[in-house]
Amino acid sequence: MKRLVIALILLALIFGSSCLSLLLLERDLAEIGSFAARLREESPSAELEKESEELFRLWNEKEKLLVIFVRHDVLDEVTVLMAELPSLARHREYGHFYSGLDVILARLDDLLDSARPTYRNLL
Amino acid sequence: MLVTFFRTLILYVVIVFGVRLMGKRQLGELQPSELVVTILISNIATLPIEEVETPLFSGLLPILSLVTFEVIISAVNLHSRWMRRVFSGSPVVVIKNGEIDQKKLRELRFSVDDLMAQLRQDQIFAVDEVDFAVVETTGKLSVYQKYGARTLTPKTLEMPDQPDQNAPPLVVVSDGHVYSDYLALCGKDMAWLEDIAASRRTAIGDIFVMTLDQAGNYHMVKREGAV
Repeated sequence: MKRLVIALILLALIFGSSCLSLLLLERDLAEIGSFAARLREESPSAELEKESEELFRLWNEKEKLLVIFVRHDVLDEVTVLMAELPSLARHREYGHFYSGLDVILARLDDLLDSARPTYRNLL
Repeated sequence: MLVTFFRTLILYVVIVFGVRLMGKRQLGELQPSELVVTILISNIATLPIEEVETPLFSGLLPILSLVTFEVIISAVNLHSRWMRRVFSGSPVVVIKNGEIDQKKLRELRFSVDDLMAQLRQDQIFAVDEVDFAVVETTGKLSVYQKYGARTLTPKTLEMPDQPDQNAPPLVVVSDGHVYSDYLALCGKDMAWLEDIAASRRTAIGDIFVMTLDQAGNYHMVKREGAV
């Protein structure tokens, strides 16, 4: 009976922490995604460098938590793409800058999609 | 390297906890569901150890989930015969009244060689010595021998019962440590143990091993080098 109680508590903790991790992932990726989408809509200007630095800072801040439940290689890939953005904006390589942002947005979408228990993921 | 070391340590602790939670059944003959859980855990555990890229949480979660499923299913099995049959199957009689049920053997994909090998493990070398044999859900063969082939026991010889011979000797002191539970089980206490140690001119801490049965018979081995 004691074992069953421990198992049920453990199961509740596992289920709770899984749901919490999904909620945190959704919250953080939504924040970063909306920032990146706003940047994507902006016209080329000197402000892009500063704002992409801000985006990178925000990503680094969120990554500290995401690293607990997201594969590190996926996070590293986004980090590399984010790190390139300020330099691309500084050198006015806007084509690469915007395509980099597109890749980041697609990666963030993939990340969120793969974490949701949808029938496609389950199958 | 330190990361791998600590991840391995954490996984080791979690798996030991998991196996303890599943209980002693997991360490003996495995039921089909227990075998599945054991194989899965051993495979899943290697992933976060080998791949530092994988979050440890992703490795711990399926291991603990499997352990909890197993504990819950075994608790449910305890109360439901139907669930027990679904998860563990049913024992199958393969020898009845000395006759081998060839159809059942074929259904179990159990060859005659398998049957003979299992019988030999029970020290039975002739099928005609067997009256009844059952393949258990764990795959082990349980055998009931014919009367003439059974081991001779005091009961068969109609010898009088000796209750004091029924209780096995228990280890009450091991490497100087006293097992109070076993001591109490044999109806003795620390004062008795101290008296015995004093009569043998030794300290309890200097006893390497001491066994005791419920009749009060004991055997003591002193630690090497102890005075």
